[in-house]
Amino acid sequence: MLVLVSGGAASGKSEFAESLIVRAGLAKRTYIATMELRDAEDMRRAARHRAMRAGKGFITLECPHGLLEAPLPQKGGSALLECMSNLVANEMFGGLGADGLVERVCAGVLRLTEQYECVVVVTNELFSDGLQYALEVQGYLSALGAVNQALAAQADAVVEVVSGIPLYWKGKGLL
Amino acid sequence: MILVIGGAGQGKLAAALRNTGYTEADVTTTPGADRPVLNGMADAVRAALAAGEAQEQTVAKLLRHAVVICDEVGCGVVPMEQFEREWRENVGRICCVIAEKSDVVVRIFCGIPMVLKGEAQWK
Repeated sequence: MLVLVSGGAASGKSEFAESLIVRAGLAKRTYIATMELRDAEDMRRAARHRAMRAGKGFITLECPHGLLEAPLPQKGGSALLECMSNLVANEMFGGLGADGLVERVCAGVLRLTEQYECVVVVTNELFSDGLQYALEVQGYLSALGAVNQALAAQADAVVEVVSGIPLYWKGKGLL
Repeated sequence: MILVIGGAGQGKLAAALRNTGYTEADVTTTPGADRPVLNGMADAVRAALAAGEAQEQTVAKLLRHAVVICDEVGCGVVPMEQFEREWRENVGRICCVIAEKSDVVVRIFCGIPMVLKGEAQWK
């Protein structure tokens, strides 16, 4: 099963995504962390997420880019990838670049669904602020939008989290 | 008339064409042009504002289309520049007017439609 969870900044999407993994009740849990830790603020953010996950039995794989080739730590159980917006940014600006990015990232997620029974992907809602961005940022936004659309089409369920409340765009009965 | 809204990069045009049967040849980005589908309303409103066109006139042109597609642009911090504030305000207000006159209003998220008005008429 593939679930796509989206929402704005600090909307409670991580908490919701983790609750899906816990509710799935599978013993093995893999956390795929995509943020590149660059400074103290990043460390604090990561520490907050680690504390949230503590005691839930996750094995963590750090994967800022190159999901398609990443050494996945265990077979079976559930996996939580967080966050697609970081993965796409890292892939675009620090990985193999924009060419074939959407296909590469989606193939990486497909590989997760082959390895794990339940895969939850957290992405980000960055598309409705009406700001005019520089060309490379526009390219990033349209790549992330395309990844989100492709994953949503594949997913069994798609959920937007608003102030901690799940809004079901697809597959409500499944979760 | 159908209004399709949603954030940038959500697949609004593809969803609208899929649902209505119109093709790329039916799409324009110029309000009032002789094509049924107006794509990019937010950009069109920006151009109209820059050209000093009255809002009523922009609305009248938009209402000639069977389908209007618009980015939602109102979910950021209030812009510092007056032009940006006015543009954002106009896009939102015009969307309200067009939504009221539309039989169908659909919001697209990650390519998935949510019908906000006129469920029966969106296939």
